[in-house]
Amino acid sequence: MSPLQTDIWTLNMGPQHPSTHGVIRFVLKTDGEIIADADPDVGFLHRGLEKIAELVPYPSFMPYTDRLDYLAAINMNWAWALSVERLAGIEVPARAEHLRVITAELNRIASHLLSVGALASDMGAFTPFVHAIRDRERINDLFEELCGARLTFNYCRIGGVSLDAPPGWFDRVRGFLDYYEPMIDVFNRLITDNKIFVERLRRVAPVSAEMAIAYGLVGPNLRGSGVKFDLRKDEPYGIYPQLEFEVPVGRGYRDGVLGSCFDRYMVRIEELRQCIRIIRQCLDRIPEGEIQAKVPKVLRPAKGEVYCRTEAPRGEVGFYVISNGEKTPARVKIRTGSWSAMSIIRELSKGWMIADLVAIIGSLDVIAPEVDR
Amino acid sequence: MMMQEQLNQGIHWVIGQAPVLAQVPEWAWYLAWMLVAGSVVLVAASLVAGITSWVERRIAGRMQARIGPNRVGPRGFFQWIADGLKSLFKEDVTPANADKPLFRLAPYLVFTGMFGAWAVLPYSARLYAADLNVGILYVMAITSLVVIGILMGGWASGNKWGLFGALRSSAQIVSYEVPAGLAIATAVALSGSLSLQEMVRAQAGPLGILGWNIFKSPFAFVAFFVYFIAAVAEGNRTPFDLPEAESELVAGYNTEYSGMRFVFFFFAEWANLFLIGAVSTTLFLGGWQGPLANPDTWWGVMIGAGWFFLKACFFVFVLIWLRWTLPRLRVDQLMAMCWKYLVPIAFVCLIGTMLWMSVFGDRAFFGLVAVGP
Amino acid sequence: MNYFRNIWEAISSIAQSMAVTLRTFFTKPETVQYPEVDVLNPRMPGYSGHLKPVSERFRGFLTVDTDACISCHQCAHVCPVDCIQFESEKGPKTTVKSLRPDGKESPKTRYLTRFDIHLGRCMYCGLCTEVCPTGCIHFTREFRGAAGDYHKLIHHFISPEEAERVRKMAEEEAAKPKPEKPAKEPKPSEPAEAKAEAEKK
Repeated sequence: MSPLQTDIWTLNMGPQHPSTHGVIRFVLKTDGEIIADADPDVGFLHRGLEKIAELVPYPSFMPYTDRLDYLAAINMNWAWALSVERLAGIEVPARAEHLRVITAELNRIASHLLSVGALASDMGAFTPFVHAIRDRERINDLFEELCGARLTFNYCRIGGVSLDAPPGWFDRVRGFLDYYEPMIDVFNRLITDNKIFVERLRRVAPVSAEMAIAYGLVGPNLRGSGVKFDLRKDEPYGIYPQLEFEVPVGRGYRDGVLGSCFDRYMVRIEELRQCIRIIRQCLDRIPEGEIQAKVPKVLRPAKGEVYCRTEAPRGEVGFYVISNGEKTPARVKIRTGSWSAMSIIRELSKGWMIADLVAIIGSLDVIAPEVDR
Repeated sequence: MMMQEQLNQGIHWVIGQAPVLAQVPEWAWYLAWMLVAGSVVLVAASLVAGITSWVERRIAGRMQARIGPNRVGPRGFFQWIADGLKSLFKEDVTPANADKPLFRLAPYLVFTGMFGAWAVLPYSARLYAADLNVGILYVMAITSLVVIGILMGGWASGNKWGLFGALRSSAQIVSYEVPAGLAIATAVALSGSLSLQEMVRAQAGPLGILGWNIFKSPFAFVAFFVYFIAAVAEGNRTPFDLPEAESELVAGYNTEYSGMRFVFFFFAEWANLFLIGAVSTTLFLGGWQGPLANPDTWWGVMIGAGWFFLKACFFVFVLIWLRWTLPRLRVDQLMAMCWKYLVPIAFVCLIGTMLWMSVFGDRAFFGLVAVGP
Repeated sequence: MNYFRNIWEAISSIAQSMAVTLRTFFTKPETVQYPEVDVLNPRMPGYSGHLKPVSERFRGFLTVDTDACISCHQCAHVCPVDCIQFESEKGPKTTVKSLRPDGKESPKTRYLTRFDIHLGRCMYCGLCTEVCPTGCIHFTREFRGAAGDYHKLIHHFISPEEAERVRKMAEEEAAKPKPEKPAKEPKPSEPAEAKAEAEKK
């Protein structure tokens, strides 16, 4: 009698799928439920942002950076503004720096909320996602009062920010923080402590620290593997050196494995608390003053190149800008966190089940616009 | 839905009105009567299925801090009628490489397997379509037809995702028959009969409540929860909704179904909610027993029907509540839970109940209250 | 022992989650029933949620106050997607007061014959509103502009009659005696640039 053999199936987890976050495609080869190979196919959302950057002047590229990661638009704006400011030697006034931090951290809360909500909804619990969106809507309202948009803010400018806070806005931000801090605990009771959820994630797809660094993971993905590296502390920019906050790191939460999906998830939940802490400090110490530095109308930075990186919710966002002294950049290269996260999925998902692949994608927080630019 | 003598009386009355009908053979009367009774049950079950879908959407909305459907009819009550009509008008798509006869047959099997069980439910002491002396065995058997339907649907779709869902589902349903059967055996042992009406009558007690099977022994109490969890798994509801895991397999075994065929699958699922509630109350919560539900008087019978309906609806609410709160289990965790947790506990409950009964006899409420002869 | 601990943890955590959901079940929903609620000016007595009307700074559709436009082309140059197209003719020199609170005055020699904004291409980024010296191009709070035809998304701000009137005025201006013209030429560029510098501050 011949030994029992099983065939390898080829499945298409196509660009249209309820749980790939955006349009990414995997060609899966599975042996039953166990994945043998997950071949990623990217480029469905490629919009040629790096090429467009060569065609529009420096200030005009700012709205395009919104679309680079529309869930964390302020952070993208800030990264671009910082790159050009370093290239052209522009100093940003203190009030603008504080406003940048407040809005960036609010946006980090919004982005993490969506990320953890989406992971919960991929696991089958639809209610935590809606609860997260409910709280995120309040952040959107705050931003709408500040700059007029709810998703693609276009708030930072080269040399500062575009608009000052309307009267009473800071009190409303404080009100939101007071409302939201206990809601984190409610959210934890709803889903984070739920045994089914924990069991789905706590031992799945552990990424060792060496593997994380080798694949270039950044942000919460890297910190989830135990590596304490946060650009806001290690290569600080803006006023982060003057602020007190902690950097949460994965440690095998809930008796799981270090670097598992649950660790990455917990890092994001803990970062929510730290964001609130940072915003409160900024609100207490924001000075009066200008919100924009004097910048020539047609900006022509001196010839040179700069690589500037900031800590966005999905990790490091870096802009490598080469200037020829003209009003449009000669070359812009954008480095995003989701690209590295996407590249590790193939190696990481071998031997896990399809249900785990969904958990892996969700916990690495891979989103299509960052992968494809 | 009447007893044999009343059926004969009814036939004689009809013949008395139109003597020409005396020539109709006896089997024709019974056939006609079965068709009538079956149609009534079918219509009632369909109404319940449709209304349950409306209830589910409204409750799910409120649990997510939003309103459910509220445009079509008062509080969106006609939403399900609108959805059903819409799916009637949808194009009937059969995939090119589908196994056409099986593809068409599958929804009917699932539908039949579900609705066949409604015929033996004891809605009240006098209100039932049929009282088989192997009632509960029949219910278990006919609901197993659903497995065949799901397998057919998944295989005949010609879609690998569908096949995945079908395989997962068949493994799940077949496995969970074991703890369900053991828990049912516990209830049968307590009631002394397989007939559903007899089981309800055996749960008579003071106040109509203290005689319930769930209160007869602590082992029966646990057996109820084992049965309930197993029934949720049989019904493919979250946290066991792997076969139709929306975020992983698009829609599992009903990926390729559209229009009316799709509606058949879903009607079966919603009607199953009520069925789970009804069978749970019959087995463990006293069926139509309750305060003032004296089966000897006609108004007692009506009140009994009300109690039955109320208890089944309570379970429908609990099922909806569970679905919208909990994430789903992975397939191996689901199997582990069945075989490592539910089956041993069900065995312990069964043996414990038998030991308890040999000590305490037929006493109600944990052996504290004596039931009449 | 792990066995029983697992069972206990499962039961307690599931009960906790279900308690949160039940709590939410009894709270008032957050849904705003658009379009019954006029989100530009909501009047919702008894409403206890957090809805605010569409904010003052909301970036809705763009609009242009064509009388205040001095045709400096700043908006078209800064637009990242080239959604603004316009043409203008030379006319008599006047000054225009800015629509912004600072009320600065800008010289105006050109008058519009065509001003089209393609609202399908617009990114609603607001860069044009920032560089405009007079503040004539600004956002409205309107967002209901769905159109069946793609070309209806191009909003024309100068009617053909107005364009005709401007062209006639430009002809009359051109017919005036020559010595006036060379004196005018260097002036528009300097104040415009100085105004733009002041604008950046």
